[in-house]
Amino acid sequence: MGIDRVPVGSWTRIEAIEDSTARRELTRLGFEEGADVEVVSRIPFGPVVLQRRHRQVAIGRELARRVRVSSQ
Amino acid sequence: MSGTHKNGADVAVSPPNAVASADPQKGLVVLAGNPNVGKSAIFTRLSGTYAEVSNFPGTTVDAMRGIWNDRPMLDAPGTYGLGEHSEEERITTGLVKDAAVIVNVVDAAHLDRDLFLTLQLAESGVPMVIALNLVDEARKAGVEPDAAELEQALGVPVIPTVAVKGEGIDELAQAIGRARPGTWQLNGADDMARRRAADDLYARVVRRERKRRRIADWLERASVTLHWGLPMLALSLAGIYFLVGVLVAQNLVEFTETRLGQELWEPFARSIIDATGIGGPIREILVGEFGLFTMTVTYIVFLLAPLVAAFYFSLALLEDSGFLPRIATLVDRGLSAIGLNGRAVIPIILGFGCVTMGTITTRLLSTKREKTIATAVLNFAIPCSAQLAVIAALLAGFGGAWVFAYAAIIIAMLIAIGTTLDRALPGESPPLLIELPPLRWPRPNAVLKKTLTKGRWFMQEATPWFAAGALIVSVLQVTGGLDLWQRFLRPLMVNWLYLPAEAARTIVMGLVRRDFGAAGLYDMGLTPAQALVALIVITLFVPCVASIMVMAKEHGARTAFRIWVGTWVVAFAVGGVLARLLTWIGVA
Repeated sequence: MGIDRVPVGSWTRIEAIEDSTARRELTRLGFEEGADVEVVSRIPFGPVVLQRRHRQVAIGRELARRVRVSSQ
Repeated sequence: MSGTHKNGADVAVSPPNAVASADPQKGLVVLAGNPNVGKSAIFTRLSGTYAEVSNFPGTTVDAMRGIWNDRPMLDAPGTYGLGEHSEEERITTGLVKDAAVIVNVVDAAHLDRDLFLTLQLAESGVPMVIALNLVDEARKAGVEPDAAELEQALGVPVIPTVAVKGEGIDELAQAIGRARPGTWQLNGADDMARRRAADDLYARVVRRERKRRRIADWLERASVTLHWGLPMLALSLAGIYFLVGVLVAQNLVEFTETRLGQELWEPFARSIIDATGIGGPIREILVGEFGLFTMTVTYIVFLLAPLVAAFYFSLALLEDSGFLPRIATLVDRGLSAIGLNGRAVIPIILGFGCVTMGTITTRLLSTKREKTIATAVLNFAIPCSAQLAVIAALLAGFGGAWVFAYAAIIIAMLIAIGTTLDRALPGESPPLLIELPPLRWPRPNAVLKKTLTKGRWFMQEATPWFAAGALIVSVLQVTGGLDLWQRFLRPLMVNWLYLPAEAARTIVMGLVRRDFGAAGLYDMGLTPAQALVALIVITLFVPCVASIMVMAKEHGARTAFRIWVGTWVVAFAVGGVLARLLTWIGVA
């Protein structure tokens, strides 16, 4: 499933980033495929905020759908 | 950037030590690093040239030039990596290729991210030193990196610094002479392998977990949720309105403009000119109604300067605290309705300071489509600080409802223009992807310096144009041209906008700069409804000459001309409809 469906406050592992530009940028920022991240906030219909090692990135909702995590 | 750095495509993949023969004792020094790590602060310390320091990514869009020890020094735009994927990356990659020495500035408190670029720089084979900046923050968080370990792993000098306090700068300057190419080599050129290597290296040099900071940690999470973030945003906007719109625009300017300007300075200027015996049209041009030594000075010194300073002060607080990218996150959903993503809030907010500056900053948007939409929105519907100041001062006297009506109409126009362009332009805008920097207390010195630097820049930009505008109006007045122009525009003013015929004067001034137009409305004795119509027209009216020049440069003369003509049509169409609407609901 997409990371947009992960509940706020929980941790998840990024399995795949299905957007080549975003994959490149997120890899540089340290939010690469295989990274364990925490979902810090989901703005209704808006961006999802991820946190890892005390650093945050915000990604738009459409993009968050294409950041795949393992569903469990 | 100049054309010398255009073909830097192969730097990231060039063989190690390819340029190792360059002498680190002379030649170009390039500062490279991630956005928002203090590169500009180090640049300022070393070269003595002021480069803007902010707490949001992308402050340096162009490379800053300076001189250090008789050597050229460049502050490259911040990037997270080398390559060809964005304007900043291309510029930085090209500069790295030309450099004799690279100073890689890294954020010691967020080293895991920064090491990706550091490894790429080490792979380039250019002699380098690492400035381990913000080491005080890292120490406070309990994650101070082991500089010796990092030095050993990469084979280059590593110097801990706190650039904003000047710590470690002398040591860094000495280390530049000892710069060496990195001993690092990557087996496999892909980003994923480099990321893993950076993470492994991070684990070697930072062995502890970060300490919790109760308030800051909470704020960093809360500020990007709707239920906490929106009230915080509303509170900061209210704070800015109170400072700029109430304290300065009403209380301070009332004193400086009336007491100091009109009652002290202007009579003094007139007495000086009268003592020299100058009379007739020359006197009128110098100290008349629109005089160069009367109205121009009063407006620039006693009205505009305090307002612009207050505005840039507020902006500096927003920038340096790290709140701006969080605002981008909060408004992303809203901006996507007009074909932009949250990132565009940065040029738009800067546009409220100066539309010209906002237009330049549209460069940090990634596609031409977004740049076009943002530029149009800025130049049609965003009033700059000077204009905003005059508007606030004029409307606040009539009460909050009029201020609200003005804001609502301008926002509606912004949405209309954005939506139209979003539909009309082909393609799609890219999604938001933005790093959120840590929240920091703004440093008083930095805020003050930024306020003064930007304020002075703005005043230098505005003063000649204002003087030129005043001169044109004065000359038109003494030659009778103003009456002619008023008679010519009379039907438009009186029958279409329901304004006094003299309002046509403000249009002449508005052609040079919109805020002068607004300023001219001050003493016209307008009713609240007339003031609202006039201000809406002048807000939507042609952008200032400087903005048009920047637009022509960034987007071509044709786009600039279209926007210029478009503003005439939109301004008068909306103004006329509004005037009728106000009459119809009975408030005019």
